[in-house]
Amino acid sequence: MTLHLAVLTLALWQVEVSLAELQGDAKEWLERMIQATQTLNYEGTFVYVQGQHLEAMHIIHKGGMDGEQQRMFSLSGSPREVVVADNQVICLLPKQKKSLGNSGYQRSPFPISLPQELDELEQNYRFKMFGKDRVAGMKTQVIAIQPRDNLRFGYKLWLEQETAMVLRSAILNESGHALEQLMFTDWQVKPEVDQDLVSPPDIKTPMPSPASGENGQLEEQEPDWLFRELPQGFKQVMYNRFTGASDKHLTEHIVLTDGLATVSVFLETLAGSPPLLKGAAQMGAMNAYGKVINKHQALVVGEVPQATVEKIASALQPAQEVSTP
Amino acid sequence: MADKSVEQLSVLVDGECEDWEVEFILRRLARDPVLKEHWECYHLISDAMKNNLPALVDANFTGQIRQAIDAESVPQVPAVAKPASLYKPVVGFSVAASVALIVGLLALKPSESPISPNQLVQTNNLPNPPMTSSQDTGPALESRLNNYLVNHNEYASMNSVHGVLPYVRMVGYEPKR
Repeated sequence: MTLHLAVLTLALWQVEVSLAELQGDAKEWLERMIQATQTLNYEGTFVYVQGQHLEAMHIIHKGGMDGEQQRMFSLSGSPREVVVADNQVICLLPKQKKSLGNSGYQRSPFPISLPQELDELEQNYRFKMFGKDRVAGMKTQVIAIQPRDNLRFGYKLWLEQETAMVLRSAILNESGHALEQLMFTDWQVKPEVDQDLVSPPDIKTPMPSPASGENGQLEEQEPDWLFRELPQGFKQVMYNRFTGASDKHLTEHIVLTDGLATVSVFLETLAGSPPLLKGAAQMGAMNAYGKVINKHQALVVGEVPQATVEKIASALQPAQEVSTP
Repeated sequence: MADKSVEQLSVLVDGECEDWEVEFILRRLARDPVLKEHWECYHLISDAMKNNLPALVDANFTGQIRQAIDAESVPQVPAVAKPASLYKPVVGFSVAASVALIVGLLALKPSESPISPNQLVQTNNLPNPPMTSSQDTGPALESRLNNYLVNHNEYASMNSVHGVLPYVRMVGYEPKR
């Protein structure tokens, strides 16, 4: 009997050890992946699927210590292009465009860049090795990032064997159904990338600056809003208030994150105008919830389940209500 | 992809290009030497067919002009320090595409209560998720909603795990074709 117990304990211990090893391996892969996405020079073609919607795009990426530069453009439908360079994100779209722009956010690396942040992520997610697969003709290791509750989505990442670059990714809901998917059909590491291929376009017309104040400066103040209770693991990482260049509407922007999922809370005074959104809305992995609070439109948007945006919206209240007894 | 560019170039030479395509093709032409060769070839063919060619054609004519221009001395302009504001992060975005974005957002899952009689509510009850034009949805309101989604996705793009997905969301939803 004692022998049986000892054998069972040993077996359980071995299972625990191998599970811990697998989880550790998955974290190492994720660390390598973060390095790869920021430092590699590469070029490739990918498809993006969201519901019935299918897109093909081409991307050229230049990594390095001086910051990433990247150009991606659509291969299907009308021509569209996104250029990331010199701390700018520029979207170019067909002729009927009118540019909106200038968020004013400093494109500093997200906290996830640091390995210790991966440790913190483990409070809300499990990392798992998920076997091997082939993407764009290349061998890949599949990693799963599984949520520990229903307040966030799961992720599945296909990482190229040699470089750990993400060649395929999927955002999964609680039943494992893919809400959004992206997969490279062709991908190549480039020793060098021609600067011309990733340079930002010469845009002649100045863009309006909805994210800046009247003098083009960001207004940074204490938020007028508080959250009674945030969903498990989420914390506030940014607060910003800005005025739209075209309509001069003052908007407050609060960003919450659990280290992986990002949720934005936008607030603006209604001043007699009708609300933009009341209730729930969804597109792919993006959920939104709008409500009117204290004559303000509150809009919560993020790549999280409906229940999470709704919880955040209902926890929101004016700061004055809390400070006044 | 190269074939597609060459095909677009051919359409451009024939003057049959859509307005919105022109700037994209020209931008690509400016940095693709192979495409430039095609461009010269197409014009040569076109001139030959219209009988516009001289008796002698110098195949390196454009190359010589380029060399001559390179050899020209360029007037020196004193360097001017750029004002700091030019270095601020800038995001340009199209109303057209972002209109489609927010309409998609609203159309897929109707809100609990109507938004407002003359705003985005029309899109909610239609059988096929539509791409509405800005006239019937209030451009000012849409522009505010669009800013929200762009700002959100720009912030989300700073997380490396999400890769290029947030950028795709910025342009991945087409305006009405």
